[in-house]
Amino acid sequence: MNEQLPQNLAPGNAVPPAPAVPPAPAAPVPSAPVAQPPAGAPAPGAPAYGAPVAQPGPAFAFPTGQHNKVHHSYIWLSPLLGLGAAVIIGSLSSIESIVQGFMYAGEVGFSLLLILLFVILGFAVLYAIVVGITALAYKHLSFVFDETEFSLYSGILTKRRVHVPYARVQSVNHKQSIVQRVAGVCTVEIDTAGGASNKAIKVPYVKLNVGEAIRADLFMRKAYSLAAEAGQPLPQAYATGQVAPGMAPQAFAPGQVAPGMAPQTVAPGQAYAPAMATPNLLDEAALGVGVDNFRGLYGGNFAGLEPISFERRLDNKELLLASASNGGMSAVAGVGITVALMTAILAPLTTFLPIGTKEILMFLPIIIISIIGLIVFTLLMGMLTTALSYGSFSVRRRGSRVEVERGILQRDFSGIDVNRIQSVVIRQSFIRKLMGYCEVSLGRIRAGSGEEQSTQANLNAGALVVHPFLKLDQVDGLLNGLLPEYADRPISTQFKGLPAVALRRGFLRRCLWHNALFWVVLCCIVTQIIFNVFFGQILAAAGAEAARVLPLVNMTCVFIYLCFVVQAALIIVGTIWWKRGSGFAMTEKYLALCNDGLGTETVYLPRQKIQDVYTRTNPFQRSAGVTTIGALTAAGVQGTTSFLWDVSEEDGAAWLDWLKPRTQATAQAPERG
Amino acid sequence: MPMKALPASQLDPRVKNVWRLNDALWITLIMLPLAICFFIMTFFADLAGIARLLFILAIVLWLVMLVVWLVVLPPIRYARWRYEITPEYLDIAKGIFWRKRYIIPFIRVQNTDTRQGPIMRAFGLASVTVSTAAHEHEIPGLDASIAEDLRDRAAELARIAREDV
Repeated sequence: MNEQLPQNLAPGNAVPPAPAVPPAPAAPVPSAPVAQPPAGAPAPGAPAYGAPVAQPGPAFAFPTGQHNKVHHSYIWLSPLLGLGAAVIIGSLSSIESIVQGFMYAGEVGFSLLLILLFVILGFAVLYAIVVGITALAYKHLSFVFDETEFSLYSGILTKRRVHVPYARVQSVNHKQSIVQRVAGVCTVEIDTAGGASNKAIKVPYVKLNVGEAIRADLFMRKAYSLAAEAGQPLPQAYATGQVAPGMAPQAFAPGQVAPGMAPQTVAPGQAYAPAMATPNLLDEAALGVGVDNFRGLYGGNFAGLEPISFERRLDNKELLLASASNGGMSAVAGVGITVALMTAILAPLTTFLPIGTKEILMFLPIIIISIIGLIVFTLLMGMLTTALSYGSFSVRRRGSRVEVERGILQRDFSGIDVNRIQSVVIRQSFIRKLMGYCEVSLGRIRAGSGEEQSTQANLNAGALVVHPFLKLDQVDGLLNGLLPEYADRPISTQFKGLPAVALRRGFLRRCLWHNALFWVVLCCIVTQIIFNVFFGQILAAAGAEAARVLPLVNMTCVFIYLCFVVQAALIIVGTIWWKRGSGFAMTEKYLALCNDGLGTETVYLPRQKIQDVYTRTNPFQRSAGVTTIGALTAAGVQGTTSFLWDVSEEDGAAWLDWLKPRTQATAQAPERG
Repeated sequence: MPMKALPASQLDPRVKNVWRLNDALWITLIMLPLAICFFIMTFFADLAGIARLLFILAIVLWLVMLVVWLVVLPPIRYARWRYEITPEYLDIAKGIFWRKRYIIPFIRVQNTDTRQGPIMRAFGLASVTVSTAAHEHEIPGLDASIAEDLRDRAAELARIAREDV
């Protein structure tokens, strides 16, 4: 058995030990003897990423062709997680019945002890069995860096080999659950082109620094294979394993700064400094107790890749407001649903049961107190969840990649190459809009995950949130720092609005035709008429019980009408805002669509990522001289459509024309200049 | 201002018959079992009245649908379905009530295929599909040899398409 531990990761070339980095403690493996890797002597120190190499050439952490094992915690930790749930469910359901049986026999104390022992023994045996099977799986689980591709071997009976050519590796992410964090291991996910037919390759349970080394190695080997394919020599800096090939934007050379960077992040003429990474309360606490940098038992030392050119964290205010607004949203939603349900249940009860106003009044304090309790509880839970998932959030620009790392308990690392970004989305929910904040995310192609069918609804889950709660006037600063390539994106004055007729059409469409509640109201009206006109006398004649049905129907209908009135009022406000704020913009390299309203969503689409554009009209639109415009990108699993209703027909034609390729032939046409 | 000129090329006129056959099949597949159900119900004495009415309704509906889908819609649909292949992009316009117009640059095209179902084959027609990373566009009902040519041309254009400016 070739137990490959990261401190034994032998670089291909002679690498002097990095003096600043203390050597990782040798992780003792009690069960398995540590066999030294056959190729080369183990490096004396920690894996030396970023350390200068004596001669230029590949400095890979994993020797080519060698089978590497995942961490041994795969054997004992992963069964534990699966078993944990089984233990809780099993013990809850079975213990009570057994206990009762023994108590009946009369020997309470002794038998309880016996049962406890029995149960523990049972689970121990079960755990041992699962560990045995997992150990077998572990024995056959290995990953290999070949000359041209990365392979993952697995399977006890059915041998499987998943391989991906280096050139096709797009992003290498890792995730850590709470338990994995304590152990300092992570699950690495290697994404290829994405889309419905390309699943991500998962390398489970590797030490954190091995995960980072896998990422570094994959990207380095990718750069090598691409350079070899193009027949180009590698840049010197990259050959030494220090910098990614030609990736660092020019603007971020020392002493310079990205153009148009907002003053609140960096003063003009001042270089990027780590001070920009404003930490928050949780970050500081985390740094204090080492949560942010907590690398667990087997985490090892950090293996860097390329220099960071921009970093942004959440400050106190942002984290607090983000949690509060998310908590607030869930509280409002929860209370809304509860109140609606209670009304729906109580209303029929008052008709059928002898419950009068007096009884309701008696219960009123309890109801009010429980509602307040519910609000506070959901608010706090929502805040806590957001705070934990966005705590110690950090977004970085490293070379050609945008990296996001977040989470206090469960930790997520997610990266995307700038060339793979399909869209930039700036989204404001109603609450965020009132506060003047927004969420910034990047659309990316997601890999289909075999079991769950993707729907349009969970596509947004695939987006990479690069800032969950940013003040609107800081968006430009963030984007300029993070994505200097997007400097040409349309600015707010370049947006073209909607024609006047869009407002009228918007009212009708949103209040009536596209409003499910409107159709419910129509059904209610019909039902009410039928009941009152035709069934009224029949029901009255059928007795007291049946006579109650008619008022009940009427009451329910009136309740629904009231809901509709409230909803329609909201929609009307939203539509006025939609007409005022919506629009689209086209610059040389970017399309932008803004859909305003109670919430706002602005989408920036780089020309190269737009798969097709379309216009769509229905007969009413044609008579009003407007058209719906849309653009399709490959973001998500099955593509994402961004659209805007009711722009003028001229604008629709211009929208179509914009995507027509600008070749030499068309460039000579006068309008292209 | 009227919407700009429609794309030049039209489908093969025989596609109307493909649509007719296709639509007649699914309309019959839905309506016939329904009608048979009602017809059987007429043999039960207590249901006879209403079942006979429903049976007649189903037959009438069937005939109306056949007239609409076989006589009225195909010529309009045919007239509205336009496409044009320029060296740089594919232009598609279609739809009777909801009219759609797509521009698909060949630089984004991932692959092009021809497709031929049994009905299409009977008429000597084929479809060309042009797919991008996110979506698949189908040009139905072209003469099989034209479809092959079109596919080859589209594939060639997709291969050489470059954005210079």
